Amino acid sequence: MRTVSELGTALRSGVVTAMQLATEFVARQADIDERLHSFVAVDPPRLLAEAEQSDLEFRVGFDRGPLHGIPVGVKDIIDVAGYATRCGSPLYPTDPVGTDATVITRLRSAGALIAGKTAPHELACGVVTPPTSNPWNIDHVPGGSSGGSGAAVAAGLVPIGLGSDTGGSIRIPAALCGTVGLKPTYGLVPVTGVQPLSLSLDHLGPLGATVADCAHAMTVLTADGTDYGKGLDGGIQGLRFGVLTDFPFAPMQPDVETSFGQALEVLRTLDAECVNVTIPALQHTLAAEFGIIPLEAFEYHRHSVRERPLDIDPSIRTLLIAGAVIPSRIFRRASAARVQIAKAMARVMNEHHLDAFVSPTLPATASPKALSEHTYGDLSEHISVSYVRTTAPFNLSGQPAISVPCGFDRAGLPVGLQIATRPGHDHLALRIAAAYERETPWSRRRCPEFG
Amino acid sequence: MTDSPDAEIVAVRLDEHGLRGPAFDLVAITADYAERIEIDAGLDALVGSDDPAVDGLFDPRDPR
Repeated sequence: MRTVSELGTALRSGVVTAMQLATEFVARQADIDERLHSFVAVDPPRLLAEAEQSDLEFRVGFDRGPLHGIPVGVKDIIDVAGYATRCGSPLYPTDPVGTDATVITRLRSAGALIAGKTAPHELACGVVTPPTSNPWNIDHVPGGSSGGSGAAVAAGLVPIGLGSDTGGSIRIPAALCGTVGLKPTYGLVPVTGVQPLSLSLDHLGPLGATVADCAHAMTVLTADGTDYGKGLDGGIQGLRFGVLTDFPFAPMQPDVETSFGQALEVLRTLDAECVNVTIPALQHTLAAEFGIIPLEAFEYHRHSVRERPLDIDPSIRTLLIAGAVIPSRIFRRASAARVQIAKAMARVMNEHHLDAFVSPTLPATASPKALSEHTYGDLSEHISVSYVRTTAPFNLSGQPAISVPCGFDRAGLPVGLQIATRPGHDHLALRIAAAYERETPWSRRRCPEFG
Repeated sequence: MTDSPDAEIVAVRLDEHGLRGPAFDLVAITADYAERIEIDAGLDALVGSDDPAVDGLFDPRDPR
């Protein structure tokens, strides 16, 4: 797996051409995706034409920046002109759409090559993304709902994949596949041209091979004039982190707990202060999250639920129908609860003078595909709850939250460290993650079979 | 859930939305979904059991 920086240096020095990168992608994707299923649609002639254009621009000295000539995977809920947007569902047409989503327009302006569409969990509403496999063990799930992007980045097919995150769908596959994944501040990356799940909770963002790769992507995706790649080497000396270990962050698997403890030690050696904090309101994260999603999702999918219910996975159909039958007062109370949760998180940050919260991204590593529940001592938990409870708090609060690899369990599956800063402080989340990444070997470790 | 719609109310709501037929399992909707997540209990703990107005528009950039 090569990074955006490494590829950029090679492109600009003439060691490699965009055409060679694109050709290599086409060959590798055809080879390994028979087992991995990370992409659902590719268009090699079109990719090669884009690469040819990139090389032409490089030859005449027209440099569009860090993503110029870099292949990017796009979650198949995001419109790319010339591709169908299928959302992992038979509900969606096979006809190609005619217009790029705003983020795709921005990527193209920055010279990125659209490698293809990556697999989402059906309707972006799930955490396992069948039939995609985890590159670290193909019998295990890659996470979801941006599972295709996570698997593609982890396998080194592309250094950047786009994802969306309503309850954790960028950070879950990032943690389970051993990549970096950033859910930006709510609203920072536009969702125009993206199929929604729950509009007030949906975020778009990058999964990347490294923190710097995500930063370069953020510079393009936000187009807000910020260079998110700048200041990544600023260090974290003197910063103060609130450590979240109460429910919903506990219980967790013992190996996750071990990796997280070691990560805290690394942060301390970098002269950051880590203090335990408690936010009682977060015990009710799931009530707020799942009091909002069904009604917003049903509002969008009501026609499909009515006309083609059997074309929707039964568990997703249940969630959508719940949106039709649970009273609207639930939604209003859930929205009010969400505000209470966001305020409680802000209050704790202020009272403890915190720069960020830190936690395990997930309480468990990648599950075998057949497993539907996680067991923590006496507690059994459906994986759709287990994989969401640690990430959803930051969808409710709208804070930026990044997952960076922080170790492996005894089965060789990745563990993620989650860092969440104040709203609008996405650059700081990236800086903290970059400092941690520099001190540890985890992001540089490659999958034995695909890396 | 404490205020979960009973089967009759659910049936009416499904009718209102044109959602009747074998694909719509009332048990799954009312028991499996809402009760498993314990939505009402969680919301009661945070905002009470009354029906409060939404506390302003959600603004994640508001540092308060």
